[in-house]
Amino acid sequence: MFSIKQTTVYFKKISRIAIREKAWKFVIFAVIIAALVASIVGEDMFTAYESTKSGFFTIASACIWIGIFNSIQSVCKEHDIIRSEYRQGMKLTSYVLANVSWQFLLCLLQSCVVFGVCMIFIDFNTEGIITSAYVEYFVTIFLLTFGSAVMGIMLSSVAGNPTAAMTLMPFVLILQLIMSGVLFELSGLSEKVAYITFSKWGMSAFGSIADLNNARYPMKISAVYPMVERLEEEACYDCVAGNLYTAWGWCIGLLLCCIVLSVLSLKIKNRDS
Amino acid sequence: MRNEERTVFYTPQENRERSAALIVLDTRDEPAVIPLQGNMTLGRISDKSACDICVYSKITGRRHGEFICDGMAGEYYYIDNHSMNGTYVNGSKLPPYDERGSVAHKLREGDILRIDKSRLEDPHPESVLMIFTYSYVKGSRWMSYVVNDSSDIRIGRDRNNTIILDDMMVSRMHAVIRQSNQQWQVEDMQSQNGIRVNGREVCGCQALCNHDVLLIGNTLMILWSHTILYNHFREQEGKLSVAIKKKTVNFGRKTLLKNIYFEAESTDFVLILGGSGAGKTTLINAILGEKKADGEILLDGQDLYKNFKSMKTKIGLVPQFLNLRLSDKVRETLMDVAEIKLHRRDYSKEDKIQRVRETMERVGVQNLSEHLISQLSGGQKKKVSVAAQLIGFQKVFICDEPDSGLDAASRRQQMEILKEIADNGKIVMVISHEPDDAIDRLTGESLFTKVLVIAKSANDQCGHMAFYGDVDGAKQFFGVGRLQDIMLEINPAYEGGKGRADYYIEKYKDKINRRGRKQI
Repeated sequence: MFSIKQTTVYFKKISRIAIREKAWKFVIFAVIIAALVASIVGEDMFTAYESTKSGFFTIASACIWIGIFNSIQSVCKEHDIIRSEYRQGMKLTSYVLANVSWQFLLCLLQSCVVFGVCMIFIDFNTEGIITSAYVEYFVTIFLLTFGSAVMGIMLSSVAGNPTAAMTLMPFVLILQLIMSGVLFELSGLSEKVAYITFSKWGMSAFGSIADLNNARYPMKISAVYPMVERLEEEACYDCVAGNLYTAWGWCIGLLLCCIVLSVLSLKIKNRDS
Repeated sequence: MRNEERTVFYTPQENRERSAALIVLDTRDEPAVIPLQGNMTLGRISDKSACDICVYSKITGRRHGEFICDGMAGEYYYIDNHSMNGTYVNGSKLPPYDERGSVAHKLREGDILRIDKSRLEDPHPESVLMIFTYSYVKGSRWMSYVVNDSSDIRIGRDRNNTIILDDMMVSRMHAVIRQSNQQWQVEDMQSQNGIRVNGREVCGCQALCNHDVLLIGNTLMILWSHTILYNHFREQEGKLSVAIKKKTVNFGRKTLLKNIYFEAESTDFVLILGGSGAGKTTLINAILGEKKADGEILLDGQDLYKNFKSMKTKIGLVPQFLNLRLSDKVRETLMDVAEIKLHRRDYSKEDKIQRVRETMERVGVQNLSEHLISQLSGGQKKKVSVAAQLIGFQKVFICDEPDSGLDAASRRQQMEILKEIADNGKIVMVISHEPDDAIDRLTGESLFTKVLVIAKSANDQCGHMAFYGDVDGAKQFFGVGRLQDIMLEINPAYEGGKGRADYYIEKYKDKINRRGRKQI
């Protein structure tokens, strides 16, 4: 079912090919996106509740986009090769784990540059919940990017070809944005669906670290919608360790589910019929 | 009777003498190997009855059972003659034979027959064990190893093992038989080709009982009281039997292939001919086991569909459209294949490098080893694709248009490489639309040894067998001078052919039926 040897072989192969196919482009993209986002939202963050929340939402969306974009074509472009190599003895779990390992490294690098760029433009709070806020922000950015990259691997495993994968990607991105709970208030089924999105948990983690419920962030009432005001504090943004652990835990859980679903999807695609 | 319902005889091969044999263990010290020749009766040795196969066992009836030979197909069946103790086949008791003949058991390679009391795990002292095989190596000697209760019995190719098996199908350290809590058990030491106990594949560890039969590579091992009897009993050569009744899609609504029966043996270089939509790719997928058909694919007597997991690596495919990663180098591609296909336990890093080097030399890409796949020409990429398949232990190679998109010289060279692979003991099956380019440079004769023609019938719109035989026979059968002219004969008029597919399908059926009657 799983072989460390094969995982190593495929990891070396994937990283070798990625380097030859100029994988550094993904890091450059991450720098550009982070610079754009941070320069626009950075100035107003930590000045008012709404602008801070919007800023984090933009950063979370950028991380999700970077992650999915990294891996959305990684498996689907190789379906014929996978089928052939599966016949020769390839273990699908090893193949998926090799892809996940490569994404781990790439996302780690991207998270470093995204957080580095953000730090240039955004004056983050320093006091975190369990440790330094910088560490907590970095871990959240990494989990969002890496989780989304693994979700990209899952989508790529499910999609039959690169065109199908690229068609699927906008739907998933839109779902992530809507389910973050920032743009719309979620209730009923949508609230439940939001539990399986990285955006919800990413926002929860960011909000908790930044202590969004703290009264030091004044409400900025929009002139267009003067009646809109913050009625009550949102529990998911409470600055408590439980919130942060829950958010990270869900991200890791979703990430593991995506790995399992990727393997299952490939097994179904390559089963003898 | 409609044409499609007519019985089609199993394709008789000119030299298709399958020598079936029965390895019999009873109260005698040595296993007896009895060649099966036609119908034979089985019973205990006695003055009152004279059976063809006599066993020394009181629990066996005087006329216990019969081996029935289907002369046409060369298959054997076993029936139990209402014996008192019955016969167990692969652990299940056979119902006794009745007059309607509904319970004859078709014997397959490696089937284990036992005459015993009902608790097979605690055999009767006079129980009888029989192993049916088509591939017994005549004159091969039985060895025995007396089991010592305390120590592990290590089995493998390596000289350090307790039982050393000189068989390339056996890993260096293949298996360990040990006693644990008064119970014998066998453990697969992550071997390349696995272990089968009583015909079933072992996953990790398995408990063993007295009279259990183990197959390790081509070596048969029998736990017989306190002795392990073993014999390198099987031929290394491959034999592929394809028997497809039909292949349907859309939940059985559309039939793509019907009545495809043929056999190929090692060193056969088989050309598959057929018009577009005749079912060539469907046939390939059925043989590969990827899209199963209603029928069976036997490789060395083992059913591919039933043992897909362990046997899928034995049949390799060189696809029409190449499955290679363009940004990888040739050497890296092949080295990774070697890492996946060849177990670390059996092959050191140096062995793998050596194997990759030899394979590159064999297909003529040694000078391209540091080139990226994307830098290669179409023909060179196909050679790499063939090399990737050659690294493993495939017995059958199926090549889907390996010569497409190549110039005449490259086509011939590609076919020569494939022919050489076949000559080295493999079965190579090739779909080609330029078969007449595959000729021997010296003799000018075709490189192919067999031709299989699949034609799409205008009556039922599905693929049927229109010919299987040698190259000269094919040319004679279709009345053509070149192999590619066969396509002109069988292709429909709207594809530029003469539209005589149904004529040849019927002609071939008649030929087979006539040959069948002659044999009767």
